[in-house]
Amino acid sequence: MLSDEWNLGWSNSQAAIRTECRAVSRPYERSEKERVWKLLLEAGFTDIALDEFPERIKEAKQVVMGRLSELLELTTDIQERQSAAYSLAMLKKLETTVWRTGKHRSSD
Amino acid sequence: MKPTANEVGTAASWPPEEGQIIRFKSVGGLKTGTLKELRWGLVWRDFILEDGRVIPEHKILGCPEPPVWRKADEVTQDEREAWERRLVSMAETGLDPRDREQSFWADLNQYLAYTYLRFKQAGYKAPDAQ
Repeated sequence: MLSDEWNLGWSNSQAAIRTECRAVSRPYERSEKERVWKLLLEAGFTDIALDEFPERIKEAKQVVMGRLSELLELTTDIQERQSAAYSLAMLKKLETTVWRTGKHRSSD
Repeated sequence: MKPTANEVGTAASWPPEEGQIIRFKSVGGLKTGTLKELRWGLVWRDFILEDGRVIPEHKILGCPEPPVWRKADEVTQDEREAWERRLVSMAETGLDPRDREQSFWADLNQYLAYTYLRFKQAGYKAPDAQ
């Protein structure tokens, strides 16, 4: 049978391991958050200016098309492939709307 | 609008509460408004003001860096489809997405950011994900 002293020592070391795991994972989580936010900032998606919509939509379409071509080479991920194709169609629809609205405005 | 004791100035009490006056970065400089509600979007939180303007959290003065955001895989298919239906509906009614700080601008901005992240991230592997 294990003594209380051993139990106490074991539980303390477990707590230390847990604390260490948290301490190790936190900076990674933080840097991951910062990395993704930086990606959005650099690509100009956090605050799209008035006349930047056509350019940002084009950029998003390129990213979706890139992913779609990867997915077309795979026999799996059919659902993701359909989802990417749907998103691409949606972006094209929005692109047409933004273009039409812009044209309408400039002719006013 | 004059700043009052109710105004948000520091990140210590983040996020601000409903009814508080917030200051945010806009094209014409700093602007103020009264917070009506806080709403999660596809990527970040939007601050809805009492006059209907929609301001992304990262444009509010005092917002911590980096702001809180959602991972693309946390957004459900239903939520995404509802968002897309709303965008199509706003587009069909003739709203101009370039009317800054209005719903269409805010929703389209979030949708583009979400779509970009979702498919850009799909090809990315975290350093320890071997």
